[in-house]
Amino acid sequence: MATVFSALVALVVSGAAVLTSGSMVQLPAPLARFARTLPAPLARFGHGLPALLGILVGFAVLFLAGGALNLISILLLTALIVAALDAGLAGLGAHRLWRVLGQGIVFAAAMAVEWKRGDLFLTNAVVAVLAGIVVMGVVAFATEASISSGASRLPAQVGALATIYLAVIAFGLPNPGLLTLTALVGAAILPCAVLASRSGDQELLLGPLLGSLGWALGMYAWLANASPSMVIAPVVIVGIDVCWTLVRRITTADGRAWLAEAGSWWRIADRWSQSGDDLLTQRVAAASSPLAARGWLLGGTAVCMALGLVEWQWEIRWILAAVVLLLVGVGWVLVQQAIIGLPRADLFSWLTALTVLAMVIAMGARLMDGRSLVTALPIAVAAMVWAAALAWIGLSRRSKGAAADL
Amino acid sequence: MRTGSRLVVATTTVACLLSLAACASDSVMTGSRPHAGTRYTEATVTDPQPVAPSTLPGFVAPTTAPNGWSTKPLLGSSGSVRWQVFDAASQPLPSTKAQQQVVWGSGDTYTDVPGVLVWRGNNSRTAPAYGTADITQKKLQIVWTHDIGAVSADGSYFPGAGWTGQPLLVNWPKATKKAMSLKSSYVDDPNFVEVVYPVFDGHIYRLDLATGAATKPAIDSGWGFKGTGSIDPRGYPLLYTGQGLNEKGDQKGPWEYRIFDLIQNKQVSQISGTDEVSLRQDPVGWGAFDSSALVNKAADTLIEPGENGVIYKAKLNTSFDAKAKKVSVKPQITKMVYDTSQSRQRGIESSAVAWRNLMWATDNDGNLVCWDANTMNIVWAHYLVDNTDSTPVLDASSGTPFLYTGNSVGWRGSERKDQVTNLRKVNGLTGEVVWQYNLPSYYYFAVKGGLLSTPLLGKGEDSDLVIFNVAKTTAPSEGTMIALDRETGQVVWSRNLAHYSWSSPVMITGTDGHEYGVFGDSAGLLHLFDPATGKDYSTVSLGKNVEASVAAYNNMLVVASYDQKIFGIKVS
Repeated sequence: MATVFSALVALVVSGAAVLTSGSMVQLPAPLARFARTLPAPLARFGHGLPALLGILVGFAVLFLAGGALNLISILLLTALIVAALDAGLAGLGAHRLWRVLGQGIVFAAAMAVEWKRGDLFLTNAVVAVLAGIVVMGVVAFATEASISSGASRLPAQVGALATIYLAVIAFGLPNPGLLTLTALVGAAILPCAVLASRSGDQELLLGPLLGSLGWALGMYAWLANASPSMVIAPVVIVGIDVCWTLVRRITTADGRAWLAEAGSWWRIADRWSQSGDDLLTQRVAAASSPLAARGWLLGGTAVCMALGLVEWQWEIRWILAAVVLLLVGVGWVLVQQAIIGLPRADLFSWLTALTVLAMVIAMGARLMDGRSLVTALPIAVAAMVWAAALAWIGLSRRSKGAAADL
Repeated sequence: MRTGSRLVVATTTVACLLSLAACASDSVMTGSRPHAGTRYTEATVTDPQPVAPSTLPGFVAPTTAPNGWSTKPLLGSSGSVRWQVFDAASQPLPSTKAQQQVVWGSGDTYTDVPGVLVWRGNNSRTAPAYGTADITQKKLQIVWTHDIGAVSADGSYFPGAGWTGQPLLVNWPKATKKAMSLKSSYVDDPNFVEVVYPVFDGHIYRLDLATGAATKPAIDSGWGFKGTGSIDPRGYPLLYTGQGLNEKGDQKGPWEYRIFDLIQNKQVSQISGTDEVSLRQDPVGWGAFDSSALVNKAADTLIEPGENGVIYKAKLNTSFDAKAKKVSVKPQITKMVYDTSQSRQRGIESSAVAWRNLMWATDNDGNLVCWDANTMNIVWAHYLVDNTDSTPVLDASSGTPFLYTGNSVGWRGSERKDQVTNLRKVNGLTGEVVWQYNLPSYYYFAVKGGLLSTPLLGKGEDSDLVIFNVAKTTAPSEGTMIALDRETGQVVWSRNLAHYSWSSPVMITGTDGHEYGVFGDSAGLLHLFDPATGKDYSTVSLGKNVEASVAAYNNMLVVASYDQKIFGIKVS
């Protein structure tokens, strides 16, 4: 009951804050006029402020209702503090290194408490700190890129999908705290997924907030015995997109030239980790349409989460499960590259390489697991990537044909 | 600072304060108490009559294959339970072969010797405390400590005493004290109580309850003890105790259930845990004995389930001549092995409970098994879903034996599914579940979440309650102590524990007529609490994890912690 009530309050507060944030472009005229009369500073922290307020008020309600378990309090407050700190440092224009240092200090303090409490071993605590920094970096990067490219609802939509996925896990494990935290976070970010502005305002809070909340949910799920592969499933596609982009900035001449514009190595290091307009999703949006890019990202994420659930039900060893998820990610990158303009011949070569990789994974699965269904899973993923690529080729031919007819 | 920033800082601060307040103390949630004031007591039965299993409701006759294995359907799951009885030479024992008859009376007739002589005091496992305590200040005070050691074994480190690790407290008959050549001051003191405590370091410590002074040199058995021993209920100077570890650093030894002569202070007999009839294969078997044996004084028979999945019945052929200062045993062993469709590990860590000729134990695979102690045949077996190390507790106050039991998150945790601790009341005659209460728990293979402690059946003013101490519930480091109505299973109170506990709670009766609860936790705190509300009166630190369970004799409590000390604690 406390869970439902706190989630409802979080939803209402977050929704109201979105409606009154003053940056709405889709509101009906009377509501938009009303919104403009409200304090502009509410928009200072960008689209994350409604979610933050929703979570804080929802948490207060949860606490008063007696449902705020210690673990929820520790992880949630760590997430909020690290997000606020990171947003603050970003607002001050701090170098990425200082932001990472700030995140590390907060995460380390929280994990020291957790280790001292006996919730995890020291090695696990260290891994959790590193995971927090990585997740914050990846999600903040992707979120900032989305906002600047006019897809501001996309990160919150991925977040909403992830909370639904984690809620399914929480029901299956089960764990009342995980379900409560998932419901609270999901309710608070849902309005941002539906109602947030498409404007290209500078974003300060939403990225760090989604990143830190993602870490908190993932940590809770992992402590509740979700495997690492189950936990990473929602961020596999986003993570691969960001990693691909960061590597590309270093390995391509274009990327290096763009970095070199920053000047000194110190500034180059900062620029390297700043979002630009070169995420695969952004490039796909430019090459086809924003709607298509969003569809590919959400679709890929949904596939990963579905696979994560299947792998969980089949009790596949987490390393094998994670490798299969990464295979989906690689396939997703291939299809995105094809949309951007990868030559057809190269695409088929890479698809063949992917198939070989899938067969190697399948052989590993056979050795590790032995079940035919598990062995077939990487092959099925490869087939799905082939199908997606061929479907896109078919669609693009038809659209080109239609364009030629015109 | 701008308004938005102020708003964020203020709300974050408020939330931090709220969470700190939330972390500050154990919260207790209270439900209704439908049977408050009802006094449940088991009638004393000194001349118990055996029950014919075939007359029990729902009894299914077994089928026996030519190879000697008997089979009947498994309750709670599709499939079956099969079993076979063997003699000491591991030859199948024909069902026509007469065995020692064993019939148990009510729990209060288990022994006439004052004290706590076995895990939870009797065959019902309901008496971990003996006597009454004069409690006025409601405080715990450490009055003595005795240093003990540690052992490295099984890839881990075991300091002090662990699960179940309950000390044995014995107010010996004078003749036995003389036979053991105890100091004359002990022999002449009718209030002298000896603490007999097998612990991790492989020693059996013998101490004076009042002072903690050694009454005899500690017996070095060579190998560590994890479970709880048993003192002969006839007051004979015999200690029965199972070995929990067979490693000591680089050394490796045999698995044995050991019988010690407390006159000579040495081992005089044993049952090997490496048994050819054992079905346990993970991968080469495991022969530890964590169970605390029950000894039937009338039948001179010991019954001990093993972690090798074998249930041993030993006609002891005891001889004790106090004047000659001699005691001897010549165990004649009968053993029973069973296997269900749900069996994976095939081991028993819980201690058996007994009522008439029926006995029950739970196993590592989640089977609750009822067998006839006279024939060693299975009466019924009920699959209760997951690893169950907690000892069932018997409630025969209604004339029918009911069992309170609960499992841990073991197999389900390894499968990452349905991680709940199931707390249950089961009809001991039929295996039918009367009520069930579920509590989500965390999984960690080495330090399991769920019910590891033995339930505490209330008595006196709190006899309507059954209290479960469940580990790793709201966080891996936390736990829940929950009091359920013994008839309905509904929650009377539920207390969040900041530090989980495997220690079994104990109820002490005060001279003021009130009941007082005691339990240890993984942070090393010993709690004195009100069983009616779950709230603490006071705590005392025993340094490190109190995984072992307390035994109480009047005002004195004894338990050892991971701090490598045995503590004598006074409730004042």
